[in-house]
Amino acid sequence: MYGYHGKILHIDLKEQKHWVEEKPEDWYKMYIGGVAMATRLCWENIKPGCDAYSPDNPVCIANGIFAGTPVPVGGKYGLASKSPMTGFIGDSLSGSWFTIALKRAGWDGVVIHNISDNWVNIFIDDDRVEFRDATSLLGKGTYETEEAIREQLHDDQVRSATIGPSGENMVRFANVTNDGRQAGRTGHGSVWGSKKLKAVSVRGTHGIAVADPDVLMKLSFDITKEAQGPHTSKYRILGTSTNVLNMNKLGLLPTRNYSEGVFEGAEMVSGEYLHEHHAVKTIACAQCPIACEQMSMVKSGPYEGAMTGIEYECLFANGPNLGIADLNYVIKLISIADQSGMDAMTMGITISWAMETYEKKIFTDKDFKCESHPDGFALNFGNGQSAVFLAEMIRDREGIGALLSEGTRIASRTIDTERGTETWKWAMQSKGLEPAGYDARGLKTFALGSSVGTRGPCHNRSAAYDVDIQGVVDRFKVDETRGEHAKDSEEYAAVYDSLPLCKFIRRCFTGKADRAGAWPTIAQLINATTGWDFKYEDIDMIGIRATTIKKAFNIREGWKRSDDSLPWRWMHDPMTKGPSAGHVTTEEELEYMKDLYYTAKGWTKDGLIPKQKLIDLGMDDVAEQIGI
Amino acid sequence: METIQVKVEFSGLSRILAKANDMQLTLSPQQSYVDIIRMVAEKYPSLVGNVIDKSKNSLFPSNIFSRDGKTVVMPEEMNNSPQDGEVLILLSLLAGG
Repeated sequence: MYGYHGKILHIDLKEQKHWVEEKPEDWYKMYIGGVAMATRLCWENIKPGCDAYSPDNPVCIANGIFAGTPVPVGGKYGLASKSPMTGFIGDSLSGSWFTIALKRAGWDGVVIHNISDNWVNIFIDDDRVEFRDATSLLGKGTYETEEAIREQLHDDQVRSATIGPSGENMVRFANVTNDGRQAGRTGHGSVWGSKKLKAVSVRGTHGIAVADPDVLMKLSFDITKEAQGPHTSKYRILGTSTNVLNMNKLGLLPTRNYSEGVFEGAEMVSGEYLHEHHAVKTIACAQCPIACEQMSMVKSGPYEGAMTGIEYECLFANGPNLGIADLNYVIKLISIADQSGMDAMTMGITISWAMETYEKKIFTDKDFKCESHPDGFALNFGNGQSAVFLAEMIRDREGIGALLSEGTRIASRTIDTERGTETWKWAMQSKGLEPAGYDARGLKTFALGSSVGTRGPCHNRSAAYDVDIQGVVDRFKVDETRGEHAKDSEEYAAVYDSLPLCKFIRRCFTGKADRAGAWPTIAQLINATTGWDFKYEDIDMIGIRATTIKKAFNIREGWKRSDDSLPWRWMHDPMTKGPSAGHVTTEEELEYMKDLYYTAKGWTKDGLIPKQKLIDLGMDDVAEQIGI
Repeated sequence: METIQVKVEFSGLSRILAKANDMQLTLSPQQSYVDIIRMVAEKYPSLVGNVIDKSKNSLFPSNIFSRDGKTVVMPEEMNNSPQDGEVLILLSLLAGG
């Protein structure tokens, strides 16, 4: 088999043993790689209904089809488990050298079962698996852990995926980190922490055989050349943080816990300001010729030297959404999250929920008392220093930080139960996951895409805001087209997430990002890598199967129609300022759009999947379990 | 009316490349959005090939003119004339992060 090895590595942490599962070529044609393959591994290996922190919830890692080949932006892997935040599929992607090492070690994927008795660092050394004591790594940050492992193994080519102190402490929204990149959202780091799995390290020394190296090299060269041109200049020059001002001008920039969409201090936390005053270097993921991440540093003051990569989502969450207009605090906050291995989006949104709860006088200074802050502190919007204090408390699960480390859904429910309040109304979450930095009150198609997202509301799994913002539809109204738009958008994204390829390359095939512009070249890349004969419609099937297996997983875990919802604020509490003022997505509108979406997907009115639909997709075993 | 006033605000990439926050234009009422693109391209050649197509007749894909942040000037409207006092925000859209 070209492009793959045909082997999945299984590891049992409790028994400290491993075994090999061979997969047929047809399985790879169905599930390709990345999030699709990782979710399929979850389907096959997770005990339905298990607790996310139980031994029955394995860590599932899936390489991409192009990892280790010359194909630009193909060095990403998928990571999936049952999410402790949502109780549904938790799937993430990360660009990394880790996946290339894993591919070179001879594995297409890894499934890590059970719970270790002691903290462990799994070392996959080609086909050898070593269970290394990780005690000496405990307490180390994510980057520090990677370095320490290289030193311990005397090999600077060893690549690791790690958790930091947040994962060790089982902060529910902890991340897994590799090569300075995060496999974020949905709480993988806490699942690793529950297993006492500090790191997975890989040394791979084999080559990767492809079917037609000459064609693959030629295609890769052409795409790489395009990736240096105008189609990616916005990513290369400014990175995603440019969206702060874009969203502000559209009235969609989440401000003060999503209470408004316009931030008066947006200029001071903009990508443009960051570029001029704080950016020190742009860096790239493995196998990427674009290099979009703006490494940014605090250059003076109490947080001098704090440095991390800044992207729009973590920037909005820890800047405008906290009412903070000073990038020194924002960079410090994001660096705390990244180095300790926390999801900076959920961290910021959880702090903003706490700030609003404080401003509404439900929390007082005393609620923030702890050993580090014996008198507590004020937590008004805009108070950067207090936000830093609280981020550290969340990381360490100190004082009220322990509650906030559970995310907004659990924190609000707990407070409301204890105090008879309704803080859940400003807990910005759906399915237990905090949303992206595009206020869906002014983006009706994206509101639908967010509500039906299998991992929760997500800008990466649904780009339904595209048709809203680009004026294809009236973003303030609903109509009968929205179901098709949401379906198309999530399936389009799922193709990229399953190969996986970074979506920033999407205009570099022919100049056009739509299916007609991209699918023919993607088929050529797949065929040159594998020797298959994929055609345009086969590329579509990648996205359809990927979204279907994810939904099937959720259905098996008890998903119901009412789970496809939105944060209360987006449905009942309109903004008062800016171009998107006065709008919400009402329950009626949302239910209407969900009907349209389920119909477009070929599902039932309840959002379940007909048995025949699954059989037609070749997913007979899934049909047997959840098809109706 | 002999002339109309239109303001183009730069955001993101266009602001960095133009090294300016906005541009005030005086147009005849018959001039179109395509004319606006040409005028911006003439004044800020650094935008050509990155934000504005090399033909100077259209914006590069994923760049849009937003009217006051509420509606978008669609490709089929580019030969229409703007209103007096219109504010066009030149957005380079991108997602991710």
